[in-house]
Amino acid sequence: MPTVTKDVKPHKPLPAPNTDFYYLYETLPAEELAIVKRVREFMETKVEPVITDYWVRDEFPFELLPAVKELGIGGVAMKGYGCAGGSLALLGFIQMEIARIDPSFSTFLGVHNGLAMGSIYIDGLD
Amino acid sequence: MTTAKRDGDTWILNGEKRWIGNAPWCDVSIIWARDVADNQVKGFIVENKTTPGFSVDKIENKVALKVVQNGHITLKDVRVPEENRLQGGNSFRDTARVLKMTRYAVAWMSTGCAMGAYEAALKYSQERLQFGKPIASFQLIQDLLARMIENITASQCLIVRQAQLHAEGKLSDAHAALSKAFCTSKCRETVAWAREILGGNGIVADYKVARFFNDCEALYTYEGTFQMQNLIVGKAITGLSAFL
Ligand SMILES: Cc1cc2nc3c(=O)[nH]c(=O)nc-3n(C[C@H](O)[C@H](O)[C@H](O)COP(=O)(O)OP(=O)(O)OC[C@H]3O[C@@H](n4cnc5c(N)ncnc54)[C@H](O)[C@@H]3O)c2cc1C
Repeated sequence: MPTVTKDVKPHKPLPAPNTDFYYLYETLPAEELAIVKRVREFMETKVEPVITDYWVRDEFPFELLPAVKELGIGGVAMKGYGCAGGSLALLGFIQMEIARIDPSFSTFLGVHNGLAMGSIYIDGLD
Repeated sequence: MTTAKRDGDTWILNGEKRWIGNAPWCDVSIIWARDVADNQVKGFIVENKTTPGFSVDKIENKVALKVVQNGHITLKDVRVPEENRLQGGNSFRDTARVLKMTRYAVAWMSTGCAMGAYEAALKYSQERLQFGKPIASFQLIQDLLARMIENITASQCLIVRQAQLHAEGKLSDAHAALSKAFCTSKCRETVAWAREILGGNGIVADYKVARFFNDCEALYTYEGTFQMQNLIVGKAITGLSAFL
């Protein structure tokens, strides 16, 4: 006897993907969470629509840099010297948000903020 | 190996650096070099575009992190004034303080990379119909999706704790190495499962997952390979150094 395939039509709309299953974003203070949300919005609206094309062409979206500057995350977790400050957790969440859309973009910022500025910040003197 | 030799008020740098991110266009680089006099690693700020003997070749044909550009730097009798030397960077231990922070960050980035791949795969599986049903309703697909969110959640718990350890002044090199090793290897597993869920479309860049799949390979290797991180953890837990 042929098996009958039951049609499993979902009764309600399916949930959107949620990658904060354990509510870890709630560990950030409100003002830092607001910055992370701003970064998420920027990545989703400005970077995501164009980045695959750049990736395929091996090119960097220089024209996005003025908007990145506007985000005010340069030198996050570093104090003084015009840096954005904030906690190291904030830096982590920001890097996670950026990589969630494009790991190249987070690497670009990681090299600039971490390896280059970080070396001067950690091992330099006034 | 890159060497530094003191000559009066200047230093002479010689050697090569491969894979340096942003090098094809940036104005200033930090160069770490071994001082031939005391065999210690020292850091220097070098102006890329105006310093004679400093040249950069762009690394072509990468298959990961294709948006960011990497350079192969050659230093030939490059002269740098003593005032451009990082005065607090006098040994490999000082370099390691920087690497601890960058490894800390790569653990977060690789978790983000896994999140991006998971979200794309989950959405795809809710929309892609086979046998008249979304593939997300199949047991074996749910098994993959559950494993993916388990990897992501475990990585997130680890990196949030990593941040707390830093705030408490307790973050060690081994803590950062463990996070980097764990999160990048779990990311590698997760992006591979995402790619599997997309079937044939998993190898097409337009569906996003292929990009995360490839990019993860670089995160797994840079800032010290998986093996290097494990040697740091291995030394901390055994009390014995296995570095050559
Ligand atoms: C995309 C990208 C960006 C990068 N950006 C930068 C940057 O901005 N600045 C910078 O300075 N560097 C950068 N790097 C360099 C990166 O840190 C090195 O590639 C990495 O540390 C590995 O070194 P290697 O490529 O020489 O590999 P190798 O050291 O040749 O390693 C090859 C293999 O051998 C293994 N191996 C080596 N030694 C041992 C050992 N003792 N025990 C066990 N296994 C071992 C390794 O784990 C690896 O699997 C970047 C690399 C990449 C791919």
